Amino acid sequence: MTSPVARKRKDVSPSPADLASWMPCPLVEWTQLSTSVAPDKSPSRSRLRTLRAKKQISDGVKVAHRGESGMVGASSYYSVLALWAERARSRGFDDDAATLTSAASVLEEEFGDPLREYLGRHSFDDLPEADFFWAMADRTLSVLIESKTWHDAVVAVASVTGVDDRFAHLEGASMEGQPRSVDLPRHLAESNRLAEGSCVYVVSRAMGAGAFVEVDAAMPSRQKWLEGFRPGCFEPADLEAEPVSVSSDEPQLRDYNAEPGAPLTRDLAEFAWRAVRESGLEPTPLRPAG
Amino acid sequence: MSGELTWRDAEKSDRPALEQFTCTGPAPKGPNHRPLPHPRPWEQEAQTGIRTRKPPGATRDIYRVGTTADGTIVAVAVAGTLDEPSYTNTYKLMVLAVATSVRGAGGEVADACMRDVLGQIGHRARADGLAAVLVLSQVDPHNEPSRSMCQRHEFTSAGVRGDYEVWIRHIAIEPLRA
Repeated sequence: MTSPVARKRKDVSPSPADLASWMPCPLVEWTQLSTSVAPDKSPSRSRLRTLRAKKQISDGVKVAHRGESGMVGASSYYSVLALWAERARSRGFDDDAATLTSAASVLEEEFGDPLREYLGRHSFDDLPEADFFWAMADRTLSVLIESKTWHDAVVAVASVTGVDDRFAHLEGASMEGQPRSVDLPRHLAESNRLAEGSCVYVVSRAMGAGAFVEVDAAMPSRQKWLEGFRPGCFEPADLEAEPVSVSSDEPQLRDYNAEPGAPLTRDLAEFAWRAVRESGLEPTPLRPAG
Repeated sequence: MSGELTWRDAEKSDRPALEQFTCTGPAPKGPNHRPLPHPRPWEQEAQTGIRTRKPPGATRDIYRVGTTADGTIVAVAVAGTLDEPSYTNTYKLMVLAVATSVRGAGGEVADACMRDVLGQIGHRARADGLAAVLVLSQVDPHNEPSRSMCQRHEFTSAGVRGDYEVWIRHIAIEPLRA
């Protein structure tokens, strides 16, 4: 149910209390969305079909998986924003739900082709290695941080510090940055394949007099990823390996900070100022508007 | 056309309109109606960026829109700087896009949009007490309209970094005349 990032990754750094260091996985499997829609029922494609017909969720991205001898199956994936739209709707935040659904559709449309191409030949677990992954993750986060539902529903971002007979113990921080300790029923941790060190967003919603708790994968932000992690190496043993150098010359490690729409970075500013110095470019005034 | 436009800061209330902003056509369809790669991916990236970027944005972002007489947003420009004292004299033009509905005027609206955002950067720089400011933009090498626009506005190519050309404009900030 949880994304591959949490499944495979043993997160040892950065600290979960450093909220800005984490971001959600931008894509979820259809089963997670279906379960969120109807937590007491088995995942159902027809349930999602109904919601699509009502325009309450985005269309998702259908991927044909290809093996050596041709197509071996198909799966549907959704922007995690579709999941958050559903959570917004269940809270009665209809405006937020509409915004999230719209943004999910935009992202699924833009990244649909590369997702189909990549996931057609690679496992979902390998998605963070796709060159478009961080661009999608960044855009997803930029929408979520504006979402009322996101701030309302996330109880904590926390990592699993231990598991006993009945509970998985998590330590982390609230969205306000306050320390949080959370105990999850062990079966919830197991069904999400969480292990000690896994980091998640703990999400809750009221259901009548009770509450429904979900866990979403959290992953280190791109910068943290580039600083301390090798793409594709999630296991603890690999984390101890020498990190590869990160250079814009390496296409598999393409730096999406280099995209035209990304915020200015210190590196880019330095690059531009170096060009000014080397070319002796003198400042000239703007011409009057007209 | 550009003479009829009004330029102003984008506001939170513009978000619904910006979520619908269209500056490119749909990707062509191939067999079985599957979309083919977009012929102008930079337009698609700009459109997605505008639809998901929420004004007013970061504190020091300059987020401008051009509107027609009826209030329709037909041009968008976003520029930002680093929130570090040593880089307040450096701005990146992150987005500059013109709606498909006002295309075909020889870049007139795009030029007006560029003039407006550069003017805003100039105002900001003057308020910050700067004598000069550097504006940079990253352009896809295949994006001829943007390359031409940079040249029209006295940008200079600073070379290629990653997949994009970096264009720079070093602007002198003149004090306001009394």
